[in-house]
Amino acid sequence: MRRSRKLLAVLSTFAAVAAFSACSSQGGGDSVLTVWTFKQSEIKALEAAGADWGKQNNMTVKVSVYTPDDAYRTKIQAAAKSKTLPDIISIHSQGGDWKLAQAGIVQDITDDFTSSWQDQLLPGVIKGATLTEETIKNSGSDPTTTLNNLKAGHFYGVPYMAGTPGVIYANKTLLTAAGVDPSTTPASWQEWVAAIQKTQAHDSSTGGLATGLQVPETGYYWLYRPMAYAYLGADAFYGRQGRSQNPSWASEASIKTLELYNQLTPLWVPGVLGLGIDQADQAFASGKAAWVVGGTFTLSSLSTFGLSPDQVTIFPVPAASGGVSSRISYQASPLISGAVSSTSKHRAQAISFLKYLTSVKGATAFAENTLDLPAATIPVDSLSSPLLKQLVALVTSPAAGQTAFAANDFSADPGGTVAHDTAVQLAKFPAKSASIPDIANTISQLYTSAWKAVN
Amino acid sequence: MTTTQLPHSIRSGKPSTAERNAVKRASLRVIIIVLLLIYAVVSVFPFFIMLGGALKTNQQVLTNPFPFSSPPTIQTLIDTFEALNVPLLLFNSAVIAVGSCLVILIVFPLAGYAFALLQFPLKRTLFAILVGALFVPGVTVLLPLVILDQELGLNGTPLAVIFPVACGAGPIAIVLMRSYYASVPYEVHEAAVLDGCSEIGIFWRVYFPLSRAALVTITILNFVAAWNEYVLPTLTNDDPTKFPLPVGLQSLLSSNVVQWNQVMAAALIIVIPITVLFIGLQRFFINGLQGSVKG
Amino acid sequence: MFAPYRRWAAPRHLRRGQWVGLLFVAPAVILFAVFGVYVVVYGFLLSFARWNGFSPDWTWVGVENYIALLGGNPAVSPKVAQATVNTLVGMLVLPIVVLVLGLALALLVNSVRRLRGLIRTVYFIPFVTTGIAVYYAWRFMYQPDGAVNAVLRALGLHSLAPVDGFLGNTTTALAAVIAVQVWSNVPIAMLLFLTGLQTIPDGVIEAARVDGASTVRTIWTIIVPLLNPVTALVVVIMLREALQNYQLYLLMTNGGPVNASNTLGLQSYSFAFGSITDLGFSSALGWLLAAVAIILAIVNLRVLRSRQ
Repeated sequence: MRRSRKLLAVLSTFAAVAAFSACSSQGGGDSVLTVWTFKQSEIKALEAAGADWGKQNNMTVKVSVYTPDDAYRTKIQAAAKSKTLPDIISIHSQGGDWKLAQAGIVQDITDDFTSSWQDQLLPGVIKGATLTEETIKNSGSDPTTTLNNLKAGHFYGVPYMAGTPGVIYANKTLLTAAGVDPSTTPASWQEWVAAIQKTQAHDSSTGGLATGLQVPETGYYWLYRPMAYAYLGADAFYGRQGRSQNPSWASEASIKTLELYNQLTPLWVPGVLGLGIDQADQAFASGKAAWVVGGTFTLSSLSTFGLSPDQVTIFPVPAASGGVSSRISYQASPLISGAVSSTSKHRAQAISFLKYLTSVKGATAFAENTLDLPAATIPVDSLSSPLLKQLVALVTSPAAGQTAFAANDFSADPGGTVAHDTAVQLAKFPAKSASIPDIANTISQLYTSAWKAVN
Repeated sequence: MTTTQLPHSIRSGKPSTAERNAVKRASLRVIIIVLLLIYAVVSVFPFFIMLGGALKTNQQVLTNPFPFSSPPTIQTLIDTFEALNVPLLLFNSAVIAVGSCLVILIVFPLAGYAFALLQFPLKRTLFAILVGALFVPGVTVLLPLVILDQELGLNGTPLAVIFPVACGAGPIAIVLMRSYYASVPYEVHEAAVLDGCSEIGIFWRVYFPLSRAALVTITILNFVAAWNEYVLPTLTNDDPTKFPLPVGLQSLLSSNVVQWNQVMAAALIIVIPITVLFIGLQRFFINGLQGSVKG
Repeated sequence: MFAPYRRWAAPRHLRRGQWVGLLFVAPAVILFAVFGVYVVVYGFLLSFARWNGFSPDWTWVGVENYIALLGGNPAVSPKVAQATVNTLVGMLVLPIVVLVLGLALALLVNSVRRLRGLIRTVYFIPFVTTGIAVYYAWRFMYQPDGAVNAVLRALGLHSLAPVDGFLGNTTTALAAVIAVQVWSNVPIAMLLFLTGLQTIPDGVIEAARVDGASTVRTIWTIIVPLLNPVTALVVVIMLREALQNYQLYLLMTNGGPVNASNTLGLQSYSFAFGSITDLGFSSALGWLLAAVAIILAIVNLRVLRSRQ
């Protein structure tokens, strides 16, 4: 039996090693503030902010990243069960934070989020981050989506990153080569379509439009919604999503927006339905697509992919002529919030760190580090990237005489999965797998049954 | 066979049946070999692509879809090694794969032996439960597993992956070992009993060594599964220094630029060890699988 | 199992044997009790509740999840319906193609003497290497300007090379993923058939090898029936594979484009880990899959047994 004893020895050593290494994980002593994020590009910025803030507050900030999104969600779920949550959880604003709050995973921070603090943020961000009565009501009673534990007007996280989707990036070299002048932005949707036609005619493999259509939301949230908002006008746009569906998705004007969207069908780059968001950005950065649809957040990703900024021109999704508005202007939407976990033993410090992140100093450093828009108002001139300045201007200077579009506002929607399901329907255009009336009718039915479920 | 009964061709100038058969046989042989070669190419084509991709620069990988590049570069492999800290990832993967194989080799041969040769209460019930677990989809138990790992304090350690993977390998391992031990003539057991061996002695001295082929088979099957496992390590481990190879590959894709040449290099690094292991042990592996089917 | 001449010792010996038997299975039972029972019970209970994974409590709904999945909920059942169709395609195509290819290759390999071992090894590599690395290699090959399209174009088959790549359009995505699944599962079928062939007397195989026309008939009337037990095993393994392998679909297409390659296993994963989490649905769907797999396995084995 000598061999078995040897085996046992090996095993027990093995177990001891494993047990030993268990001690080192999930650290978090009294002077450590733990922060979780799901964005790789944010780690450095958060660590830099943590180092600076920590020096003043005698604490260490430990940032952990979990990608992709599904791993992050599962991580939070498991940690909530076993009470090993970090102090601060980064989460998508306007939804993610509320979901966690409803579940009791993050705290109500309304009392700490004072109005003087709120005033430091970009106009629009606070409005977006405020939970409205309508959102709570529309979340219905379904146990997986309801927000009925929450209070209207309360805050469950502090937005520290802002911006908007619906920004188009164009490759100057490819445009010029195709005879499209990159210095004048298309005045209308139709002009833009004509420009893509030109770049595509010049080179069918690289002249097209890209976006991460493997995630169907990209086409819907980033491209179709801004265009439809401008074309239908705010009333009809929100009315279409509302309980009475007035006008209906199958109405004439609504069909017209679908037709406009369908004009892009032949203009996508080959294989666009298989592209994830990062891959689409990468295709654009490496010159395999002349255009990419994204948001203010796309710049940071393009720069990681090594794109030189002077190669790029940016403009918001152009409004279609013949619609209600002739121009689309955006409100700054909160994109990522920091929420304080309900089990945090460092609530005051967590609040203090979030305050630092949204201070002029912290936010400027954050912007420089990530090439992304902070939620706080910062002196734009201090930014070194001209494109980042342009992006800030895009969400801070709405066109005169019109309501800026809050692109991530889904409060008029019924709760549940209707937004995602609509996005999937719209992806049938690039997939060429259904006709316009079919898609319109299906979406209309989706809304009808979603509203029925809300009661 | 009908051909051999055909009347012999008597007209001159035509080849005899025997000759025709010989020609037919030769051409059949050629066809068989060609078909075998075609499928051999299909079998290994993705590995040529990996190898080819790993030996290309990023520019070459975007412009040349074929697995050959001129000139090949080893810079990509070097870059990938540096970007991923491959030795550490290899070590972590090895810990998980070897650890789960050890657990499996200790636990399931014993059980297989008992189900094949011993009588004990609840035998049929226990067998049905342990083997029925085969049909429980992995998706369904994923979240409970993560929560369980956390409650047992295993998260962040290789054990968080080792035990679930070992448990998941159970049904097939038990079935394989049981049918292998059942195929051993019962006289062997009787002779050992008459020699005064205890049951554990019989198992350890006689049956365990006899079942080398089956042991290799379950080891390889599980080693491959553990080596490729990426969902569980992702969900149970936050520390990049404890990531196994597949999670490293995943992070290569989700973090930065998706450079297909680097992805292929990383894929190659994942595939080579298991291929080597398989080729080294394949004789036993195939015998083990065959033994279990015959038995 | 105990020989009659030892019957006199039965009472004492049996008790000792029983203890030993229990001791032998104890490690497996303990491992399963800790890591199997807990998760299975947890998952089973969850299938009768609604839970988004975050909230502290489950909402018990009885069999409502099962009803919703089977057509009772307009927000859920369309997704499930599409995934069901795709899964059925896989359950039909995968076993048939793998059986045909596996048997054909086994016969071919069996008919050569030299290099048999080498060929067998080469053929088996897809099975042992299958996993994330291989899936990414295939994804790379399926790109619009990837190797598969390049080969097709080089052969002059331009019309067969999709502009969007094989995974980028709704007509080829499912087929392309199933092809990878076939590729990685043919080896195990081939090996099992090869084993089965070795139990068939040489004379039968020899006869089958002589002449083209009668070869097919010999294979069909003599060899195939003799291989029935192996066929049954392969069918069970492939049905389980088609029903439960979600990782392949997750890593290759994530069900896209537009759900064209979504399957029930992947849908169950998406319910649990997708953008909108509904773990009750995920669990219920998982158990439906398990039930289908078990029923099919039993039916399949019964049918083949009764034919023998």
